[in-house]
Amino acid sequence: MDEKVILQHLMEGSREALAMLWQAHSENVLNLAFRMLKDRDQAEDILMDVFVQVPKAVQGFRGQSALGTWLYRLTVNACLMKLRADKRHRELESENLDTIIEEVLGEGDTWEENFDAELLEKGLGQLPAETRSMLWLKDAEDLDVKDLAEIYDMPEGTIKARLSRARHLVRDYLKERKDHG
Amino acid sequence: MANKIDFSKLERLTPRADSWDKVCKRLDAAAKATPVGKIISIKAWYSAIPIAASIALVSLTVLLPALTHTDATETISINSSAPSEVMSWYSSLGNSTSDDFDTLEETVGFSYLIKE
Repeated sequence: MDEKVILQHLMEGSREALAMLWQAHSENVLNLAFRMLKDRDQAEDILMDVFVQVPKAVQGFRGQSALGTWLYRLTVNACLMKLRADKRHRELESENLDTIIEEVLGEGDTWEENFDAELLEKGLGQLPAETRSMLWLKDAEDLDVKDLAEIYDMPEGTIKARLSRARHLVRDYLKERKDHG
Repeated sequence: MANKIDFSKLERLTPRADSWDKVCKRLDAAAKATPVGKIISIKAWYSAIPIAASIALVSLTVLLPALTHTDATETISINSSAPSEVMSWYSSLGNSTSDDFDTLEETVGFSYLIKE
């Protein structure tokens, strides 16, 4: 079904339209939430929270972006609120990240992607939740920078810079662990 | 893009089987708790109060003068309002052959004025 039709039905409160949205996007929402929260149960809670709020929130949705992009935005906001509420947001702040990244820039991008998943999880854990989710959406879900700019309400240039820095940080972490391992 | 981080080795989750049912239950519970048409949101109140106050003010401005309006040219018969002493004095004016001017007793006239 066309997305505009689904949107129209959603605005009318159709449960079937919501089910279709669930079929199409629930997995993506869950994985994004999991990348941000690093906890399966909490990610499931966020997934359900997001879809429970869809019938009401969709009334304010103007349809200027894809429904999937809009859902990502709801998810990112819900996760950030959750992290702030839990006071577990003790990860690197952007400023600290910038300082660290400056030290690794210029080392070249000849990294071989043969690290294991656990190490990559740890490497991603070095990033702030928001940046981690940004990297996930770009590199795993193949979203455009334009979509990311809409989701995070940031200029495209800022998104590109943060992605670049995040990649450098993760690669540097992995390289360091590999050299010492 | 060659610069991308390869996430393909990471676990990809799928929603639990009962998650959709839980979403439906929460939506049903929310719908029962808040029947349509009985809710007036706080935001609605915020905008409704000044509008209602404005309407009331305009209505009062229009209605109050209409309610308190009296006919400025309404005739009140002196026969129905003046005491008999005053009427008697009034009707006898000019009928007397005496040169003396028959004056109304002060207390009667004064009490009439006070009454009016």
